[in-house]
Amino acid sequence: MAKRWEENFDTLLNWLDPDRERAGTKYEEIRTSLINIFSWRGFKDAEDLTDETISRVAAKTPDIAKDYQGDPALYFYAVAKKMFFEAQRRDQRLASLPANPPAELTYQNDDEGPEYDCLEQCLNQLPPPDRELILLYYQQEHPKIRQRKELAKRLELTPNTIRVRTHRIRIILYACIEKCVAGAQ
Amino acid sequence: MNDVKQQSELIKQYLLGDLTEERRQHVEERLMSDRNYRDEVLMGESELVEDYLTEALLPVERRKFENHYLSTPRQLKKLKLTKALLKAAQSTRPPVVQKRNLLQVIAGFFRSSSPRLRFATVSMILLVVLGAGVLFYAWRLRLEKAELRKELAQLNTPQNIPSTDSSVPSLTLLPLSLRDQGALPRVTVTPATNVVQLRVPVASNSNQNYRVELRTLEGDQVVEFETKTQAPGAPLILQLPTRILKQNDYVLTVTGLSAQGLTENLGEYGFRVLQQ
Repeated sequence: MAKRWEENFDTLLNWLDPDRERAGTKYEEIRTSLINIFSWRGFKDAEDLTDETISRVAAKTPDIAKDYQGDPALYFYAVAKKMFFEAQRRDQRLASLPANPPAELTYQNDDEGPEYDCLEQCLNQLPPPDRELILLYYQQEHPKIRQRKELAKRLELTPNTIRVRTHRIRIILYACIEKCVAGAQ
Repeated sequence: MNDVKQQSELIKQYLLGDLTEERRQHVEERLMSDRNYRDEVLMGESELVEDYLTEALLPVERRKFENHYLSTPRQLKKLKLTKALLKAAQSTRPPVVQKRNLLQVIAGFFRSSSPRLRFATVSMILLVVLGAGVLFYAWRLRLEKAELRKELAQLNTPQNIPSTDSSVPSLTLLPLSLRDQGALPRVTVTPATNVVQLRVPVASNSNQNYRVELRTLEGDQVVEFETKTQAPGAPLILQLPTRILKQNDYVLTVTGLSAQGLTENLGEYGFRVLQQ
């Protein structure tokens, strides 16, 4: 069964892109997007639901890959939509269990932890210009829009460029923190 | 710009769980296949979290954020990381130096320093102020005297001394040694009088240059200046501005200055000024 799964997965990657490296990148993008979507819809087990979605797609890939027209990512999404409804029905069945504590209570007392330590470490690993940019960006003076316009003027960039660069730096930073936290655990 | 704003608003509504199922699917399909749109949604998410932490959300948005967005571990982790990042950024922010005016700075100094230091500082300040005052007064006095000498030099240029002018009060002085008690020659000045003329009957007639010193009878110097006549032995006529002459008794000391640099005491002459 495992071998069949590997073959299916191989077929899936080929379906995404004949080039294995590009296929891997697309696969990661699809996986991350699905995790985000499940999470934004309020499903606590977003990763599990995503893996289940991918498994179902992989199982179907030998049948659909040849004739499928369009972006494969949308096929993944179509399967994920079915997962939404299944997971919703599941959650409704579990509704009798005690409600989760309010989110506020969950995070409010969470000012410590490995994330904070890893953040400092990861910030120091950033190239100095990136480090400076991300810290300046988060020095939240009000109004925020004016502060960011001033930052853009100072760095001789457009506000949108600042926004996009900060987003990229944030991705790198959060990935570093995840790795650091996983290592600490 | 409107499209960008509308897009941002749509993404915000999506993340707060505020869209219909149909619109929600529309957003999700787009972010699955459009990398740029996916980045927009992720950036929108980060900005939403920042707005929540900086209390920039409306109350209704805040409730939806807490009830919907924060319902999963992934979002909670995102919130925690953003909070950490905000904290790190604030700790690296240069302190805001509050502008204080001079009085506040001085008040702050006096509040924070010891009594001894405060006393020493106040004493020093007073000394400095006093010294500055004295210097300023001396400077003003020198300036006024220099201006007066300049005025006197101009008034007493031989060409500026009229031989006969009934509009200028004139007085012939007498040597002080011949003065009878209370019988000083008098000159009356009015508000309209600018200049008085004093005719000094100097004994020697070989000089052309003279030094003149005017003092009150009490000895206070009013002015000292040098003057010259049109020719050696010509009558010595002095013109004085009335503004330096208060109602008082005065003594004029005249010294002859020879071309060889020798001086000759030519006597003291008294007179009285009356103000009308």
